[in-house]
Amino acid sequence: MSQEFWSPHLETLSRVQLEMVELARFRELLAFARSHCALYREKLSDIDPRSINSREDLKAIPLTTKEDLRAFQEIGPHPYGGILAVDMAKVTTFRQTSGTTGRPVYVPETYESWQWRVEVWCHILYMAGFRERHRVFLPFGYNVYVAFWEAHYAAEKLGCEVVPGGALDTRGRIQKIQEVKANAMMCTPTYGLHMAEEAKAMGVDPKELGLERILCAGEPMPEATRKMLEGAYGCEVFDHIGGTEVCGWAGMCSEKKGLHVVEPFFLVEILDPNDPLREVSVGETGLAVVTPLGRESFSAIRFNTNDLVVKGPESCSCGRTSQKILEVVGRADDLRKIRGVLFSFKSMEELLRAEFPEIGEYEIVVSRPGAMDHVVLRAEPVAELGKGKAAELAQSLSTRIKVKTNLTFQVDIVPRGTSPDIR
Amino acid sequence: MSLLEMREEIEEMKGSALRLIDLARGCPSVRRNAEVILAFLRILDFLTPVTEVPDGGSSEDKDSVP
Repeated sequence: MSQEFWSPHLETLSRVQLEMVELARFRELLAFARSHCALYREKLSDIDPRSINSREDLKAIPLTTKEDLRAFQEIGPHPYGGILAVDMAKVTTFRQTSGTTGRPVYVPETYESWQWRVEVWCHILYMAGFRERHRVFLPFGYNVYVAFWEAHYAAEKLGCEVVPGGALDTRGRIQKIQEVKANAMMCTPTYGLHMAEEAKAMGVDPKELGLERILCAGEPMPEATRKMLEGAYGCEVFDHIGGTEVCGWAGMCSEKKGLHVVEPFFLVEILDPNDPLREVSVGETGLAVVTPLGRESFSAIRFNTNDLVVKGPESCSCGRTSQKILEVVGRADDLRKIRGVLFSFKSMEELLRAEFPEIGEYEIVVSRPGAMDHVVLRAEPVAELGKGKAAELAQSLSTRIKVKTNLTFQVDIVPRGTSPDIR
Repeated sequence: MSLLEMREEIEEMKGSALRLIDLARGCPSVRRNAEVILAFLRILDFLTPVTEVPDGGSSEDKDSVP
């Protein structure tokens, strides 16, 4: 049996077999959700699960949006309302979304569905090379957001030794990594970069922390950022994509060219944002619509994650046959029009990480003092700049931003430590 | 070992777990741990789906674990 795959038989199924398994599970989920969940009793009242026999047939099923979840959460027993599909007594795990786009959604899991999520994460971690020999440090807050909770339990299940790094500040975490000789870590890309900067400020070369691999989560990670982290820590860095409502649903293999959907745990469609009845082709950008196929507690059927991704091929030199995502472009709601121009915050991250390594943390502030949007980029240098260098850097940044985005930004190079603290 | 054999083992284990849950009605620790076993058996179910394609003809090879 191959040592490269957590589930060799599943990860090398043919496309025909994958589709067959996923559609069968989808029908079962549909039938279950219609009879157990108020949201889907209403949304799917006209749909006969037996009519879903191909991916084409999925179009008949309306997408589930975050607004649907918010609305139905208010109807019925607190706190989950009409999105819960099991008896409340079976719920063992509470998590919630961050609430950055509106009221938080409370996500219930039974013991079984939570373990299902953990099993998905076993696939993600194993794909990223996590093994029993790893002592994995998790520098996250261990709070109501799902964050790295699943990853923690999955790492334990794989046989890794997990060191929880909550309730420590960044310096404390760096010291703990050194003290226990952790050789793997999981963090957000932003925090990983911040930690590397903090280590240098402590006189510690992040490369000498001894980390062999890092898995990132929590925010889109452009390739330039991933390479920057690899350079900073001298180790391999892997990405993944997920959401509180649907779980982590795609991970990165050793080829590091995009992400593999963890099939057949999910049925994933990548739809044209302008025509949601059309699945995009390879190389095209679309909205990721995800159906977790093994959860009873909370059925998210054709859930619109609002993540824009570039569809990849259905093969990889690693041998996995699952659908790939070539790139995570960003959140559809992160794209906004500034002075009539469509702007992606992720493109700013890409530009800064690829071309301005002297910039550490930054923030972008968009305001409208008058009739037009005004954009300010406040950027901190990673090291003190010499006289006159700040102005030079600001000019250079401003020029590149204009070329890249067709927008004029006010660029302020601010002293280190000015930006909001990152955790 | 083939997927078919694995699925048969899992079904047998599910039967045992359900019987244990029933037997342990008066013992919460045994009952709960048996329920946990059943939860993992359902995940094992998920990991060993039927993968024989109806029209392509099936063989033991197609259902085998590499």
